Amino acid sequence: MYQNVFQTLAIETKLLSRQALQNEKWQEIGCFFIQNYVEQLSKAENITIGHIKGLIELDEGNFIKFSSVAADRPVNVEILNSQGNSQEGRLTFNAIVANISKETNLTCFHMALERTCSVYGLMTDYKETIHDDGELAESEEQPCPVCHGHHHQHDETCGHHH
Amino acid sequence: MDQPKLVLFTGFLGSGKTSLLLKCAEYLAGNKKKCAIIINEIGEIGIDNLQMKKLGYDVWEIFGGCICCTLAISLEDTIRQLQEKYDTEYILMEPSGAADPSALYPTLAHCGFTQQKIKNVMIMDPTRVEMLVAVLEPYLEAAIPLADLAVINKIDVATAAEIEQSEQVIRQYNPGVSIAQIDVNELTANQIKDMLK
Repeated sequence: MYQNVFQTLAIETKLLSRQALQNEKWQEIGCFFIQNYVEQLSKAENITIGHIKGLIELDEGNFIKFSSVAADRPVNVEILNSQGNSQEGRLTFNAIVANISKETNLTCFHMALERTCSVYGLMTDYKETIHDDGELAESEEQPCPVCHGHHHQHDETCGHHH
Repeated sequence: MDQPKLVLFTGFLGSGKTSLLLKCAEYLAGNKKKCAIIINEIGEIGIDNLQMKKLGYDVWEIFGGCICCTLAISLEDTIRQLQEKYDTEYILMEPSGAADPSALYPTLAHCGFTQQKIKNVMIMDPTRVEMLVAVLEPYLEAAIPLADLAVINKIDVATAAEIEQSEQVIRQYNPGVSIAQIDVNELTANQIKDMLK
């Protein structure tokens, strides 16, 4: 019915911290990321959010699920075990949104990911970049080994990680 | 082998279908009832099925399209396998929230599930009722009349006006349907029983 109206953006990436973080911290990080993404989305005109979902898999089989349907509502969180520590969070992200181009959607994702990594001092293995003309492409240059070059498209100094 | 009870969890994207399905699955597992879960998510990566598998449930996932149209054969095949190979008492099915649930019924009927043998639990998010009415009226017209039980979810965060408007919208399309108001995180055993009976 609306399968062709709502576009999906599905991304898997890793979030890496220099030190192990408590599960509750990962929960905070996930909420921050989803909230940021939804806020970025809301700046686009006429979009309709279907459902935004994220799942962060942590060590020892722990995971946290996030979901959101609107920027003015809190991110819903399901956490199985708030105890535990992980240095790596494997993020699975799925956004279902109408009236948005994939480029704009990806830009929103990038910005939210970049901000999240910047605020929480995380690295990610996410590689896709958007050129100025909006064309999607894999990064051709060797990425910075710390930030992988995609946290700060407009920040040539790479300052916040080094 | 007796035919399993088929419970459909329908409702628009983000209404709380997966959370409610999981509560029902948890209840059934706690009462030693065998249930199978069929999920059809849109998107290239399934999050709900990943969550359910991590919780230890055996999930039959149908990806790559919609079970209402392009994947109807996959759905039929999945249900037949469940009926033939497993002694399942309940099938809990969650079609994509972007799908027209009425398109499911012919396939289900082909598997022996006539409308009388299906329990359709239709879930509504009252916090988005205005948007649903303004933008997605065809969905409401298609989905609500099929409901055997209408569930207004998220009453912990919705305003009284949003809940009332949701009830009015449900009554508009399905005047006789039972309506339950729930917070999926605070469900009682009786509320779950109502959904499964």
